[in-house]
Amino acid sequence: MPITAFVVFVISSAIILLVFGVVARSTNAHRDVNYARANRLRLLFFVSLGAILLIFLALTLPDLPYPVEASAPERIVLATGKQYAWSLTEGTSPTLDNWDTAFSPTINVPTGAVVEFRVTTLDVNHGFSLYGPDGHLKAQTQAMPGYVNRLRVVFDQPGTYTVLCLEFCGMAHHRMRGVVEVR
Amino acid sequence: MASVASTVTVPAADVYRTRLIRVTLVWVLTALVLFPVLAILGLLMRAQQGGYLQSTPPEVFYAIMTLHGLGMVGLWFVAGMAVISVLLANYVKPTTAVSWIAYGATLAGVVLLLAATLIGRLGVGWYFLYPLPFHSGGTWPPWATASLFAALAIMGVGWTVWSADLLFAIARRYRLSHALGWHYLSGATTPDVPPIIIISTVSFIGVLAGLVAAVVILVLVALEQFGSGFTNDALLIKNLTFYFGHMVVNITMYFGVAMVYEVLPAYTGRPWKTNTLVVLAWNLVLFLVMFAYLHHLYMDFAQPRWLQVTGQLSSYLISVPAAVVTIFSTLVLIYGSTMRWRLPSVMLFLGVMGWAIGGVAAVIDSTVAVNTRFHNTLWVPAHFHTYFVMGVMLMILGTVFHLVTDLSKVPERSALTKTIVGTVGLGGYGFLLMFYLAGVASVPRRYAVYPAEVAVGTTFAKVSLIFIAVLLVGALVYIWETGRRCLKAFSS
Amino acid sequence: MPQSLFIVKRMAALLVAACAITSLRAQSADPRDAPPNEERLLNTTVPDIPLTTVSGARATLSQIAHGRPLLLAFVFTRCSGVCSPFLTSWRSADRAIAHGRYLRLALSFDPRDTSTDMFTLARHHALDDNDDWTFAVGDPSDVRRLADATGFWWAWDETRQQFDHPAMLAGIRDGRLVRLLVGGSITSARLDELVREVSGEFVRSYPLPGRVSFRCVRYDPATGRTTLDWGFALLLIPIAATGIGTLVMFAAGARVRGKE
Repeated sequence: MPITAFVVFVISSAIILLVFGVVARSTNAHRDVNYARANRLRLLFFVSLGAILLIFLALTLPDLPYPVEASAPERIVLATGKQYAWSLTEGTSPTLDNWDTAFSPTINVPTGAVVEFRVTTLDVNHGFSLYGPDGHLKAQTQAMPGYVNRLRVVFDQPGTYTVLCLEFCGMAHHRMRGVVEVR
Repeated sequence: MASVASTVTVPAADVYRTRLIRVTLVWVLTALVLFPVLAILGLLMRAQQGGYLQSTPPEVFYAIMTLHGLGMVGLWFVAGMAVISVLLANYVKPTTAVSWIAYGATLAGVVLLLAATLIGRLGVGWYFLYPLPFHSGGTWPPWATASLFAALAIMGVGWTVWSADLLFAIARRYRLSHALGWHYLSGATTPDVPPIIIISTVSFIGVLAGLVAAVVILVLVALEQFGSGFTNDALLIKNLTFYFGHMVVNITMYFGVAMVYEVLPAYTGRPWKTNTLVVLAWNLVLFLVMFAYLHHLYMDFAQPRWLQVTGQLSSYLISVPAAVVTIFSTLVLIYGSTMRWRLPSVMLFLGVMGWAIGGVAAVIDSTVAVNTRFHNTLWVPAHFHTYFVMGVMLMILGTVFHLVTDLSKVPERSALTKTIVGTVGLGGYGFLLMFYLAGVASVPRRYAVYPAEVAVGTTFAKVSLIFIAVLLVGALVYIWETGRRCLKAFSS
Repeated sequence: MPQSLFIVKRMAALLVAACAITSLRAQSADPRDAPPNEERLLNTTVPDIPLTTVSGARATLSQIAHGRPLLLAFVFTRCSGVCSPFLTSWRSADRAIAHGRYLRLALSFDPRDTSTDMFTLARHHALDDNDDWTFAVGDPSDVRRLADATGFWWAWDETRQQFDHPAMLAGIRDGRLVRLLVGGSITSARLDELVREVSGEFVRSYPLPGRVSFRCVRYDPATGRTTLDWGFALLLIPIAATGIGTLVMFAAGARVRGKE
């Protein structure tokens, strides 16, 4: 899907470049503005742009990452962020006091399982993100102090998935990682 | 103010105008000094991300990132304010003394920020999310955090007073309904209110709202730090933070756009007057810009669903007045005209194009379903650097060159113009392309070093260095040409 | 014995029992004394045990639930402690929230309790003739298995001739433990969250317990919807203040214009 978005972007940019180029070149031959024609064109542009936006709204708004109803997940993983590590556990989550003994940076889940990540943080804002074995971002949610965000993911492909931090949190922000082994 | 020539005449020599021009030139010269410094900080960042400068500790990267971000956002905001105020002087009377106060406040803020980041190694980022400044993990001392907030408070006060003064200058001449052009909607054309007045009114209202949000944040933060038992809701502070930040950068963009409305007509030989469409567009923008910030919180599942949908709707909708009125009218203004392609008009033209391209990237990312894959990847810096580097920066610098050329009477040399445009265009878009490609490849933003999973980020960063170098060549030529015109204008 | 005196004696006993339980908890390091931990038990499979309802009918947990999610509480009829106040508060909270389709089940863990005893308890709470509520007993070993899966425990106290046990509400959906509400008093807000969860409504984010001074949003148990809190009002301050400021400014400008 990022590829689709990029293609849309490239095509739009190409059209913009083309239009601006045509307009720039047009100054070589002077002509008066036909305001009536210009406004007809503007109306056409308005209707087209409006239609495109409405189409994309209709296509994308039903696809919000906020499920309203859901059956029980197969696994519930407690994901807790802290400067500068991720803990992925089931059952109990670590606190600031027992972090060193209670945290675990890795977890195993079965392929095809519906996994629910309950994401929170013990200090500052972090960003919980899952990167697939192909290096692409699969899903994300914010880890906010005082809140638990629930992210549902189905791991269709087996492999090693990495949890990276996607909200700047300090000097080792880039080193925070967790691992979800999907087998 | 009917004729084209008078809308862009540089203010005639009189005491008030001289004073205003002097303070504006001081602002411009300061900007010309700060800009390359801040740009080089950006270069250093990309260099470290490209695998060079490996001996630099990551906390230094993040301190530089903080300074680069806060610095650039602040720089283009104040540059926009300074140039707008001198253009507004064609119609209203901004107070020169207030501009100096804002200048002093900005300088004080810059010094405090330099100390906090370069000495204290404060690394919180622009934007920064509470409570990060208070969780340094030993990286920076408490005085650096205090320095940061002091800087923001001082600059905030200065900029609030400045914005209020400019809005009051408009208020002294126009009543509110005229300043927003509402009389055009019923078919009246008098009083003739130029677009720059309408856009400025919208902008100053917006920026004041953003600054009030910043005040609320400071109060809440102070209550938690100094009060007992008062705990802040992280979600609330996040909303306020993005409200403020989004507003400041959007308004900076609108300053640039106002300059296009005001200055471009002189080069095309065609007037650009207010009409019903302009009024509708900018009043709609005033309304929508209050909600568009919500697109920063899509990945905060704690936000109510209806706010998320509002974010996407308002972000989509706000592209319509920009595209259908401003950008389209820019093209109509130029099409087939006796356009004088000089550095200012070329830069304004390219600036509008960059705004359009950055806008497409922004609308794409403001789609919630897409945002799940793009949020906080390099796509985000890609689109806002497009808006800034190839959008508002070109608009402001184009206008600056126009002003100082008129003041200094130093003629333009087309060879240098071509050099500047060629290098900035090629360097700028190449540097941006590396960001976009990295975003598509899910490379995270704000990483000092890229881990193995996103190692391709290092390659993109390396390549971007070439383009930045090219961009900097053009920037330095521009700075040289503009700087010497500034100094000549000063002496005359 | 007059009804009021009976109640007063029961309340006094409850107070004594509460103090006793509290002090016992404070002194003892027995792991049973720790309140059931929702986190540890989340998503565990709950055994589908056979039960006998107050009408004498025999069915399994899932058959009684008829595919509905269920809220389960363990009680015993000879309880002079928390069971009755707990049931009372649960019933009140339940009335206050928006209803979903689910079963409320009160199950006895006391081997001495019969379905007749449970019928008496149900009638005491005016819940004997309510299709949404079921009171039941089961075989001791089955009940023990179900209790273990949900974290419920009990221990016989010789001195008081009473069972020590926690008060909790287990939310069960599709045969798995979904949420656990621990505590003797059920508030409508907490019950509302639990009911939503159990009904399959995906609560995509919830705040952690803790004092926060101004929140953006909060649950309204009466309507069952998320509403705006004072924090949201703070969010409106920038627009409001600027709007007022702009009007004031332009009024002042008009006055200046009038003078010139």
